[in-house]
Amino acid sequence: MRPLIRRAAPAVRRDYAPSRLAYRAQRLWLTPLVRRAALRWAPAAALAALVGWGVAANREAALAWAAETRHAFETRPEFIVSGLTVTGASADTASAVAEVLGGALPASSFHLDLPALREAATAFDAVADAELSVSGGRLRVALSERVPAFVWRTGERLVLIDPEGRRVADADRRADHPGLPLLVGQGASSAASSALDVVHAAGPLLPELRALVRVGHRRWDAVLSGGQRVMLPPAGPAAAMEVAARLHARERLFERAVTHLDLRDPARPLIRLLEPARAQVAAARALTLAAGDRE
Amino acid sequence: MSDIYARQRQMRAVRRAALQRGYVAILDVGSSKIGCFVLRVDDAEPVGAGVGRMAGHGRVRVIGAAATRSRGVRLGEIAGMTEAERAIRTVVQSAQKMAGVRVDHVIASLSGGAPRSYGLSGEHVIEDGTVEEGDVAAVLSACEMPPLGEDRPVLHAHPVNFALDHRSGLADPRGQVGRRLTCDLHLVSAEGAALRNLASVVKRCDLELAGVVSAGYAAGLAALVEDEKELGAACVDMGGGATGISVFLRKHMIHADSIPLGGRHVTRDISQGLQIAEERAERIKCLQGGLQATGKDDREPIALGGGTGDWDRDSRQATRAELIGIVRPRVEEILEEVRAALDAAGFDHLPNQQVVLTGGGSEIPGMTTLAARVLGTQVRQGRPMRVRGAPETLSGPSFAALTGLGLFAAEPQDEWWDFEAAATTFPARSLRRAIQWMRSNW
Repeated sequence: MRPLIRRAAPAVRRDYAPSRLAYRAQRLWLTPLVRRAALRWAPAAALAALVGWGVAANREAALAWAAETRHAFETRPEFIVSGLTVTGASADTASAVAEVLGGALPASSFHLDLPALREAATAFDAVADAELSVSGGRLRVALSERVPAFVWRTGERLVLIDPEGRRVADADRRADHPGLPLLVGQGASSAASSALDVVHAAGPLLPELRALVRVGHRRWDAVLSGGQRVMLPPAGPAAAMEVAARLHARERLFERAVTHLDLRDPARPLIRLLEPARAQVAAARALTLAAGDRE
Repeated sequence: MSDIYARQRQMRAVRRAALQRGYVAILDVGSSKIGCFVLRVDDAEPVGAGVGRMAGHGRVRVIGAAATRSRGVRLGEIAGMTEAERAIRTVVQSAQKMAGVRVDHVIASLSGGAPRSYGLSGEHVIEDGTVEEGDVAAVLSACEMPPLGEDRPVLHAHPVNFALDHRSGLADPRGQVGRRLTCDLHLVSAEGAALRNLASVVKRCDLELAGVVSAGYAAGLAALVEDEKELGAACVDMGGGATGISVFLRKHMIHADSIPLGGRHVTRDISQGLQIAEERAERIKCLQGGLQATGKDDREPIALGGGTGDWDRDSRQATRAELIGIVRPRVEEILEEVRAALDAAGFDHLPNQQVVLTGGGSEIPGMTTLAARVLGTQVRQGRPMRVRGAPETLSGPSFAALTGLGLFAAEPQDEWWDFEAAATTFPARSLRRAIQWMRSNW
């Protein structure tokens, strides 16, 4: 009958053969010299070392010798890093970074604290990230720069900031950066990412867009070249900007006598007209009412 | 010629070094099993009451022994290098473990390789009247070399007989006075590829080859007693993949041959005839095999044990008579081949026509009777002489070649290359000339 309880069969190793390593190890172990070294000399040497370690003078001498050897090895000319190559950044940034990092050189590659050097490189506002490597006795720094997205006017200063609102550099004049939209107002930098959405949404209105003004730390006003303002809601400013762009494309809205387009309530857009236009509208409305009365 | 000489002398030097260190391994690479002895070689022979000189056999003692099933060897030649290497590693490791020493030098046997045997004779005129070692070397070198064929190095070259003027049958002519020295040389060549494979597999096991011996010769050394070697006898080593033949006369091997047929063929016949696995066939052959069918054998069923997995229905049986009917023709074929080889060697002309069967194949019951019928002479089964320290399990007829290798290691036969080259090399000759010139002029 077939057994119901499964028992592990005794392991039969057919045609067993020792591995080449096991074979060599056994042969090595059977070598008289190796055997004697392992069984007699090695324990004797270990005992002698242990006894010698107990004497303070020996211990200090051994430690000093170890430290000296280590130092001599680390400061061999093969391990000295003396050159510096900075890539991936504009000349100003590169020279600034090189000036800071160059102070640590020349040094042994064992003593170079690359994380700290990286910290030093990324401390620059213009530097987004830095990759440091040592090869061929040179320290190679691959920088990636922050790309400015806006000019931010705050008080008297003009600052270039990136889409996350971090400072990249100071700007001397607005005219030096004609391609970048202007942000104005307190707290504009911290909302830079939503400003970017608004700018993207402006579409056909983009040539007209002069600046985005932060109002009350919570919402944007888009100022157009004719001084007209598009008042955007705190939530979904990009969608509202799209609405404004559509209105302008269909109605030529901002070529008319409009000073404000108020989109703060998306359900109820308002426009504010110049004084003569308002009078015209009122007159037209009165005329319409009168005609209605006559009927 | 000279490179054979150099190679063999180099192996001889390795062997001397091994004997000086005191340890040497012997390795029988057979087709059915691979065996290894680790020998300790002492300088002094044991002496005691009633112990004579034991032809140097007392000097060796087996201190490590192991055998394993052979793999990677077919018809006595290496067929799978990795497999053979693994098998050799296995035996060498366990023999070393038993011995507790490391061996670096190994004497190996070659059972296949199609050995071919040649009888040569040479003649040399002695200048100063007394035979010296240089004259012996000269007469050996004067032997006319037969065409051995492409890539067939010399395995053995034994000086068999020396004759000085009209006196023949001299074992050692040195110091004797005469004028014309002639010698008979027995030369065995083998296939170079088989030898190189053997050397390669030994090298892959981190060992150094200290000699290659024809397995038939080694078996003859072990299985023949002194009288048989003296009077003339043939040793038939029936191995697994090859059957080795060596003919001895006056304590020298005078003929060697190998037939690529062996016990493995019998096993394969059983496996095919009874439709069973080869391992099962091997077991049935060893336990129930025979050569002489009797009436009782018809009534003796052998369970074949199937092995197909269908336990219920595959319970076939065969009678022992059927088994014998399979085994006998193949054994007869092998013996016929042996007979043909012995006839070709002129075995009939020997004064004594003893045939000694050894090797695993000789253990089939009824073998001596059948062999006597085919070979037509006195036949006996030869068990190898005991080497001191050899375990009982490794000293049956199957291990004749292994034991013979041990005896060979203890006291190797002088070979042609053991004599100093007779002024064949330029510096020696010029030096000798210079000395002669000095002698005659000063």
